[in-house]
Amino acid sequence: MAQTRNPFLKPRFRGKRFEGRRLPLDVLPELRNYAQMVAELAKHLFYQEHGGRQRVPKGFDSSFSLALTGIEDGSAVAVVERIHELSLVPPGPDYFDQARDLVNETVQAVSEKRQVPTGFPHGLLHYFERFGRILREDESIELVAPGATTGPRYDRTVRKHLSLVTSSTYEQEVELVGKVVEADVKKHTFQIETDEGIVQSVLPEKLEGEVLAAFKDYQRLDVSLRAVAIFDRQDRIQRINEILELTSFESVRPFTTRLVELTELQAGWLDGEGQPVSQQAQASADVLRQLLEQYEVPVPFLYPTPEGGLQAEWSTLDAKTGAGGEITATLEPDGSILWVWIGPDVEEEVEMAAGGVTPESVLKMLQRTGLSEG
Amino acid sequence: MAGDKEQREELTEQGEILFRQVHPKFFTGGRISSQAFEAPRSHEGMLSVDCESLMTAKDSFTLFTEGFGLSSVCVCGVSVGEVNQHLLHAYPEPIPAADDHPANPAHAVIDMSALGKKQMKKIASHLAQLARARRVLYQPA
Repeated sequence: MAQTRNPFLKPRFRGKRFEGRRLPLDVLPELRNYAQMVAELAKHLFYQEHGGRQRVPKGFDSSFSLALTGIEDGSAVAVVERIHELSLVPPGPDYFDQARDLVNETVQAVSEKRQVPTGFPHGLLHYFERFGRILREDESIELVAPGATTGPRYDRTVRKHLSLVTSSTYEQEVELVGKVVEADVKKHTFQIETDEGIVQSVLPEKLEGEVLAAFKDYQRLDVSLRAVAIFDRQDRIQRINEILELTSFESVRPFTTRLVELTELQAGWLDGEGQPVSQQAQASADVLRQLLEQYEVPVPFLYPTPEGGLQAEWSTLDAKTGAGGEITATLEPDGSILWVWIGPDVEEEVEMAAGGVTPESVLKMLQRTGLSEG
Repeated sequence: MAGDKEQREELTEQGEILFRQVHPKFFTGGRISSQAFEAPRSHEGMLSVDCESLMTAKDSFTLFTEGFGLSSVCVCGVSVGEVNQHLLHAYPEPIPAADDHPANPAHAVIDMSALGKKQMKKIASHLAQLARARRVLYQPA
């Protein structure tokens, strides 16, 4: 049987993530959800025209199958084609093309702050919740129909307005960082404390171990998660109802909090001696802080030095031999750094001149001392 | 002070613990900084300690904070043997009473005066590691 391929849509994904004809794999489920919306809408249009019909004609569903057949420039344009066997297409108007056009009209109307077109059934608006969840603040999808060079832009705002037509909440993908402050295995929930407040989340069984470990060691561990959250009309997170990714990592917060505390030390803090922490030492500490945030480096303990510097200290344990080591980075008041590390078979030191303290040079030292994988 | 050490008798009881006070800023997250074992420049390379044979860790803390009005958050310690292993020596140096403080007959010093800065950092790291393994010997509730 002869198969045909007809252009159906060229969604243009705009945003940094899509530059250079790049389409993250996350986009694929989005396109599948779009196809489901079009299919349901096509059925609705058919029933509307054929009052009293209980079923669509044979071959109606199977005549609609979308495939991603290419990616073009700008930022990334997905080429979506409809692939079907001619013999399966029922005669008459093409409800799927009509459905696509109605989706576009609806997006166009809402983006222009107009009402949802009367032809779009409110009962199907919830499909928009499942389309575009991955979109970030500065991203959009331009829905370009065949023969057109431009199309309506679908972004987070349009999606939110469409969701709120029939609901008091809407779904949006979010990235959060915080501490697990409560976990209930029986109820399959946990709470994460973020800068914006405490957020309730579902706790999938497969993540129980990691979440409970982060809860038990909450002072040391933070979690970062990518999730689908429910927002209210005021854009406040109500809860997380799906976790897409979750990782726990050693929190840098104790280091930054401690750094702020130490930079406020006054002269004489050491029983009449002790200088305030110099600007240059603070700058060195800031370089270290950035690296702690970017790389998997154990968070050191931080202390002031009497001379107006800072000292970062790590105690290490060799997993194989059980031998302990000590690594000390003295961030001197003049901006130089003295590295000293000792262990059962090692006693070394390296002086880093003030002008040579850069993220690259400090990272090299972290690698050399074994604190970061090189 | 350093010149007198030739005439002084060294502490030789290898198992004797030498109490060291830890300044609050050298203690965070329950961890003692190696700086607690660096002799301050103002003390000419001498690290002040108290001898366990003459005073309890608690009394050492109380005398340091209340008698001398200095800051400490806890007491830790290293043994004379551990000090000797790093080629350092400890000497008794009792402090007589004065107008502004009582006597401290248990006072002693670990002589670090021969160490350069880098060597001091290394030895301090070793001693702090040993002190941490011994855990805090006294900390007020």
